[in-house]
Amino acid sequence: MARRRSAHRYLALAVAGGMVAAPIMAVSQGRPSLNLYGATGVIDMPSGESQPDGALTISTSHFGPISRTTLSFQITPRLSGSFRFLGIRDWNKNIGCLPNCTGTDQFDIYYDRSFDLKYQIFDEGRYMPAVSVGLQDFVGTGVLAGEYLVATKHVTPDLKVTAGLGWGRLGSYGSLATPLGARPPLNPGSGGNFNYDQWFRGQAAPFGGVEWAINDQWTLKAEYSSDNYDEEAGKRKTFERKSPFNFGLEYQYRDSVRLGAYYLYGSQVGIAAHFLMNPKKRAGGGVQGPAPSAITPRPSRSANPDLWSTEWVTQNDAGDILRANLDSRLNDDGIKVRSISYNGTSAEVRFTNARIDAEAQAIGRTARAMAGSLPASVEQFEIVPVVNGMAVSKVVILRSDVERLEHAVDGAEQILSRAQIVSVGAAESVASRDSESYPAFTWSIGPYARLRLFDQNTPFKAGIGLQAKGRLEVAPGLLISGKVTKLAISNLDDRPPIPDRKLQAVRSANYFYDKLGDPAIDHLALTYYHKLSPEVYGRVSLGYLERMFGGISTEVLWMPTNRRWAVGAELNYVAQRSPDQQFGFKLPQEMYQTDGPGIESGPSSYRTVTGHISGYYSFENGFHAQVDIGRYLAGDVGATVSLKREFENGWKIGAFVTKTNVSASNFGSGSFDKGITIEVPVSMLFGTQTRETRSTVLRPFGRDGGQRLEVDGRLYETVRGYRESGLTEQWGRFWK
Amino acid sequence: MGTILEMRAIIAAAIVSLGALAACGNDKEASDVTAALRSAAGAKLGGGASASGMPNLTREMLAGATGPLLLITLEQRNQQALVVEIAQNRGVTTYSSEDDRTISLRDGVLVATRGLGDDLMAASAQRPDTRVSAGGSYPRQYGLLDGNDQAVRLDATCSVTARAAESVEIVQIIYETTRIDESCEANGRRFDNSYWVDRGGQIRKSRQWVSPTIGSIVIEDLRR
Repeated sequence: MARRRSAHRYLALAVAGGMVAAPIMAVSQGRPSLNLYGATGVIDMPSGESQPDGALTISTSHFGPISRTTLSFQITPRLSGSFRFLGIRDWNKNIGCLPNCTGTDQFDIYYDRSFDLKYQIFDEGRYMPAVSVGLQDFVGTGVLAGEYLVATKHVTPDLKVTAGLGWGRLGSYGSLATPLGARPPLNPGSGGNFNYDQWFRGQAAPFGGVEWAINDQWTLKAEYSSDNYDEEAGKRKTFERKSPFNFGLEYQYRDSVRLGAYYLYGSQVGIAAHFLMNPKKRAGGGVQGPAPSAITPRPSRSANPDLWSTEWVTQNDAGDILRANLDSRLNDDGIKVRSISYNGTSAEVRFTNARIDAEAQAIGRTARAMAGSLPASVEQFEIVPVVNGMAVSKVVILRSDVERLEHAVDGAEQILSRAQIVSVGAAESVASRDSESYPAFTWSIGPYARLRLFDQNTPFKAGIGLQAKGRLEVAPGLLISGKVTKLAISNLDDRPPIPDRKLQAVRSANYFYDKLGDPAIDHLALTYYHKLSPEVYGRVSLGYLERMFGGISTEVLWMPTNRRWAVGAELNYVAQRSPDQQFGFKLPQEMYQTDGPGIESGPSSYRTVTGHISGYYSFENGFHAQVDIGRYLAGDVGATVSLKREFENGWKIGAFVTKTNVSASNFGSGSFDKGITIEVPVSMLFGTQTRETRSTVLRPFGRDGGQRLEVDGRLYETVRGYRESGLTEQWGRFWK
Repeated sequence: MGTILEMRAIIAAAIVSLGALAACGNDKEASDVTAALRSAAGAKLGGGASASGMPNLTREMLAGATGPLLLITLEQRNQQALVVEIAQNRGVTTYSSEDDRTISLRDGVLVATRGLGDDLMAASAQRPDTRVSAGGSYPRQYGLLDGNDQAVRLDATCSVTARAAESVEIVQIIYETTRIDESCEANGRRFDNSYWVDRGGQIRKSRQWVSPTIGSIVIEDLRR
């Protein structure tokens, strides 16, 4: 707590006319720093320590011909993972193959992606060092592959020493022995496979380093590296490795940025920048927004018996009046009252919440408005959040508890213990229903950015332009939504090398969609949501569902509100859209071009049935698992497993893998589909109330196997925030 | 394109795709982002929701005010607002500014704020001068929210550290008061509160801790 004061500053980056501010982590002098691989470590070597739980870091480092950009996440207090993009320049310059280089030698800059995992086995104690074991580049082509066991111990609060033993490339210089047997040659195939037969095999070599924190900002480092850079320095002579010793000086700028300068391997100067984020911290310390209405308790029944009469129930227009009063109290919060039902002593209010990110806060605000405007005789509040016409849960609380606990120190906990959260069906005996709000049309025009990452040529392409979005709610649950985009500045039409394909080009023709679809109708669809029973939800979507596919998508979801699991099924019949993303479904032969020797033609139209059975489980410790089994867009059959760490405030960081019956060689580079997902609630970035989130998927290789339809508004993510676990995870916000 | 540039571009890529982009329209969610940007920019420029640079108040200006009226000052943000009483619930009085920020006081002691960001959610607080045994320490609980929206309870131990006669001026009126300083400690965090109590036993002015991010708030009672 003592350091929280410094935690509310934020890093502001002006990007594309917008601005992003990330909440930053409090840093102590002793916070473990990151190495040039973006993992916790010294300079080029790892250390025994870990980052604080939940820390998300982006690192970029450059020395000589080598550049690495790494996204790392402290998945649990002990386990961390990294995803890295590597570039090595002069890859084929000094090996004498020019100009007729082939295979991997054909690239002047070699790009590769890699994943690491690191596990801290022991925490540092009085005599015990922090000890970690790690796998570097453990899946894939293994250019960076290495394993290590490493220990770090503070000698004084400002000085720490690291010593470790490395295998693979971390055992390539000054090796002592082969303790665990020979390392078999790497057979990467198409990449993307676990190279477990190599782990901790072959020559092992020691490494070590020291870190001295001069003060809160500056740190000096020195290390002895056991990496011989056999490929880069030895074989390809992209730089000269003269010495195993590396030296560095690092500067901590505020809590969010760490910069380093290094002298490496006796010949190279290096630089690094690390950006540190903590999903558990909120910009500005808390969500801003209008205060709730304060509660004035009812006078007691004995003091004013008339006020407690239930005669108002018989008044004809009571429903309309009460709904209007509630609505006006909740208007500033973006809450719209959709219906009210009552008898003399209880009232049910159904509402939609357009703005408040914490669902519990929307419940709390509604409870306060009810306490402030319903007749005194109403003691039981039944509060029902509705999403796209579907009621999700019913929260039942007593008005006297709301009055009594408003200022209690543990008021949130107490009211939760006295609340009931149950499944809910259709509203009964509605006294007043919001029909004047329909049809409702909302629209927005704003900037738009499209990215293409990791195509084989350059790792990053982007276009910036405008998007127009519209949404017409015809009736509760029935809506038409669309989005049109037009790029202004773009290098997306730089053609990347397009590898051979064996499947229908359901995703791998994305270059042609980028190039030809400008302007594009991103999507334009009619969606109908309907609750089939108190625990079963349904959806039908019809139209241009996403950039590349149109058709019909149907879905059902069984989600009891007070369980941690849900089960769903989706069935779609879709046709591939023309790359120009207008209204047609005709596929030009042009989009089948590749740079490989294989077939460069395909059907002029492509229709398919795709669908999945999905299981969802939300673990109590904040992890969320999803399994989808079914048929994918290219007709392949298989399963996707996704695991996310979800923070209560809405940050979600996860990874997924999809394996289908497409063989690794037919899939192409990467062997199977996998990636990393990051979702950030905008309210966390700015400290203001909005339900908007930004999400991104990083796929090291985007191919055609294991690809799902990307239809908007799938049921589970639409409604889960209002089931019991979604409501209670941020219950502290009830009284906010 | 050089590799370094490309690598930087990857970071930019991650950010652009997560990035909030300003928009116009009648879509509440999209326009919220615009509003968020505006307020983020505003905060940077030193402006904010509440009126900073309150005009110099005079008693003439206050003559028309009927109900209870307080002037509150957020020290760290350099923001001020006038707040009026809007509700009473079990001994707690809530005051609201024009722009819907509220503070709640129990017998002059701050027990809640709303709309300020890192709000004080609740507190079990009593006036230090009404305690039976002067000297000695007494417990006090604070309810806060962490960045992950989890309720955090801070169990503080407080004691009165000083008592001295002091005159305070509140909008052209000088009050002879006793200043009571209170010091609290919780989980290694220390914070101080001060209360200026007039002869009638009314707290005329106070400076009270709100939360780690907001720091302290000064509350001045503008009633005669």
